[in-house]
Amino acid sequence: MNHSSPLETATPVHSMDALLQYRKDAFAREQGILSAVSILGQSVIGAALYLYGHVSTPGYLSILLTVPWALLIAALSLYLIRHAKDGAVLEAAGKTPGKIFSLMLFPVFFLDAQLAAYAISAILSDALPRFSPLITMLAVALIMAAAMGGENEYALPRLAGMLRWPLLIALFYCGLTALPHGSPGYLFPLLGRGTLSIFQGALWMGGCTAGACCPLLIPSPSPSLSPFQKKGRMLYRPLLGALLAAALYALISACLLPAYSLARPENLGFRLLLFTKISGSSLAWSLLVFAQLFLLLLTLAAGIMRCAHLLTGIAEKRKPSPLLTGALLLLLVPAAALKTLPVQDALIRLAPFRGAAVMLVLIPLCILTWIRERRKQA
Amino acid sequence: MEQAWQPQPQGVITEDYQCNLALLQKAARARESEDVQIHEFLLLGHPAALIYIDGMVNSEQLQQFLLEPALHAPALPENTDLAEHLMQAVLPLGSVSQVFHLSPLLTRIFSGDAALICDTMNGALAADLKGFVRRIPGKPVNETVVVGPHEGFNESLRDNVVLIRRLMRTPALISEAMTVGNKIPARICLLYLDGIARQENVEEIRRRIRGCNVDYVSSLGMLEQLIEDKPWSLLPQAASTERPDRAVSFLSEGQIIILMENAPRALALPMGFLHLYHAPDDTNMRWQYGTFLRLLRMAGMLIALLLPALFVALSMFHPEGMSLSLLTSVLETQARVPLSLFSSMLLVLLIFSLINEAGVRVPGAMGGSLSIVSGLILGQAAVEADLFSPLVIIIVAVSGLGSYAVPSFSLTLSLRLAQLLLVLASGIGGYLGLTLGLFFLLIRAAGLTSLRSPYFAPNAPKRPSNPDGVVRLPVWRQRLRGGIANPFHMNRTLGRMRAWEKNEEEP
Repeated sequence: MNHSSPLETATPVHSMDALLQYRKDAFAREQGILSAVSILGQSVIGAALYLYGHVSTPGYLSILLTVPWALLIAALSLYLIRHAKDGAVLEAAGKTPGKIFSLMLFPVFFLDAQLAAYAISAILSDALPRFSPLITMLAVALIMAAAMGGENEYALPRLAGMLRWPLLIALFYCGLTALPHGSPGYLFPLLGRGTLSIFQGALWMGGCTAGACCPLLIPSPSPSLSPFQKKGRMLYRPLLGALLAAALYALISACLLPAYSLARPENLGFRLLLFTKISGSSLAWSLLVFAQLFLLLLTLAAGIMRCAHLLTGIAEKRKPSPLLTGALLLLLVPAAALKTLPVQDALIRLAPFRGAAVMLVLIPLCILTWIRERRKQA
Repeated sequence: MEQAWQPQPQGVITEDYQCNLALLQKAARARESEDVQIHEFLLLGHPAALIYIDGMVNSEQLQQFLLEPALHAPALPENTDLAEHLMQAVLPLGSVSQVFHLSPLLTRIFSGDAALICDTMNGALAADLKGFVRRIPGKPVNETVVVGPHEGFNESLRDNVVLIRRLMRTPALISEAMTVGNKIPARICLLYLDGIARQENVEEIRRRIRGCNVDYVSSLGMLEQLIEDKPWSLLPQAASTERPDRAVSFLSEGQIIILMENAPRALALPMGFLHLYHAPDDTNMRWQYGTFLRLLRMAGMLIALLLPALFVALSMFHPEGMSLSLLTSVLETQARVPLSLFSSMLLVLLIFSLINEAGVRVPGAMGGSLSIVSGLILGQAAVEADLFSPLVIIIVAVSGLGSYAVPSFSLTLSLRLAQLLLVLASGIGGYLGLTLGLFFLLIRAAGLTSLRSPYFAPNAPKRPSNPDGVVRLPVWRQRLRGGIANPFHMNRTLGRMRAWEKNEEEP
């Protein structure tokens, strides 16, 4: 029986095996959505932190150019997932190499979280200038630690799943209400500062979104949900959707302000809340602040959760301790609170290296897995 | 070391009448408790005694079916056990059983059964002659419906089981008796649909109930708190209903019902957030009406949760997010008020909660006076005296209306607590505080489970489901059982529900 219409019963489920497969799919889909939300969050941060200043109006082209790169990372991840035992993807090459690979991936996700924390701090300084950034970031870290602590490993992907449409709708509603105040003329010259800057932007954004492209490398919290869904659509679809949404976001941003006003390097908070400065709608203002903050909080939480899972995997434990999550969150506070240009410069310089780190893990892991498979067949 | 309290002494009922009588007199505290009755008489020439609680047994039935037949009992045939002879040939009762241990016998006596002991008889006979006063099942007070039956549970466990069984006439409906409380056991009943409810779930509930290490469980609410997955959570993790028809609907979805003596409601496990959001008459109505009402309820919930906090955040921290006319109005009205907007909002919210609580506790006849005093006089006077801004009162009133639209009382209270938390957060940190507060509440809620089933299923995570969530589509599209209970047979039907359409011929 095929229920294809959206008005019909959603799922034909007749057996326990089908039901179990459905759960595995749902778990993989949630991880894919969390990954997509992280990609969107990292892209929004990347657009404000790097693309506006260094690439100017064709930032959306840079984001679109990262699509093949993201698909390559996802394909390599998927290859590993298909050959992993019980979801322990990083251990496919052996226990010790697995731990080394985990250690290599750790800074990637930590930097993801650090960038998100930095962006939150920038918005807070812009929206709440009377509070000390250190105090506000400390409060953010402590509340997030309390929210993410305990036996709550499924909560974040589920929350991302629940909030994905409200977030997207809010962001684009704000963009659309601001659009009449912009001008297509701001898009010219179409190539901004030239093709080289667009490719450099793509390289930077590729590094920025690299970590978020391989969500399924993190072991499943429940053995019954492993091995993961073997179909790639669970991973590719949200990934492509997020990158297209990010490109659209950058395109709308470019239509709103002339190129010279995007070049101010110091005020990240201003650029993150760009639509609100232009849109006359008070509802759009509120929605955008909420959507941005939620998106960044989810991105931050996703980065920290993955860091905690990696460290837990290295320590050969099943679940991350709430203390570990709290400690990782507190580690983010100093750099996030210090909104100085050297910190911003350091983040901008480090961000593209995340792509290289991910590749340094994925390629040898894939080769080792391939060799092992060949030996088995022989 | 302190000795554990032992309200029910242990012991064995033997053939020695005097010894048994003394044991029962002492154990049942017959000398201290005036309602514990011990009636001694001669049964087939042997000394015998009836032990019961006055008022808990039906005296007419006691006389007619126990005392009189016992006094006129035919002689005991040779080689026949006295207890068996009494049960088979003397007492015209279906529910008589032999009990050999003191503790279960006392439990039965204090539950309204009558006990008979006799010299030379091994053990005691316990007869179900309950006759205590109980309320006739009436209208459910807190779950009224426009379309649907108007019958609710009462405080008798037996009546409540019957109310459910009357609606679900199938041997597949299993009613399993259990007790909870290790010193003074309270009777409970587990109901589930065999072949639909997952046995792992049934076993898990049994395990949790058996694992309640408590002397006495006074209510179903207490039991709920003892067996729920995450007791620190703000949200309830068991669906509660006063309506047998709703309990039956839970059963058909594969959920397990818990009934308890003296509780005029049932608990259903596992449950999800949607069970709190759905009203009992949604299914009885046409799907368009049901969907419209559900969307209204969702709007009400969001208003109740967010409106006061949003108003505080916007007025105090982000005036740029308000339109100029609204901002002028806020500033003008607030200028005349001595309290800050944040304090006013908190105070009015607390007063509103106080009125609600007083409304629940006040005797029925005074309800009208209370609403006049609180709603009209107090509100009007507070505004005229420039104690509160009228905008604050309007915001609290609208959010109160929103919370009243929620069908579940537990969810209403959760919303009210969350609302206070969010007002506090937005009063401290504006939108940041509100977003952080909301993030905290949402992520805790997203990780919640009920009997290990995800709370926000079938949406997060995705589970097989009917189009019966935030909106409700036609009943004939709902071919599956709710996925949250993970029922053994998922499909309600394999084929078209409106099968007659297929064979319909043109006139």
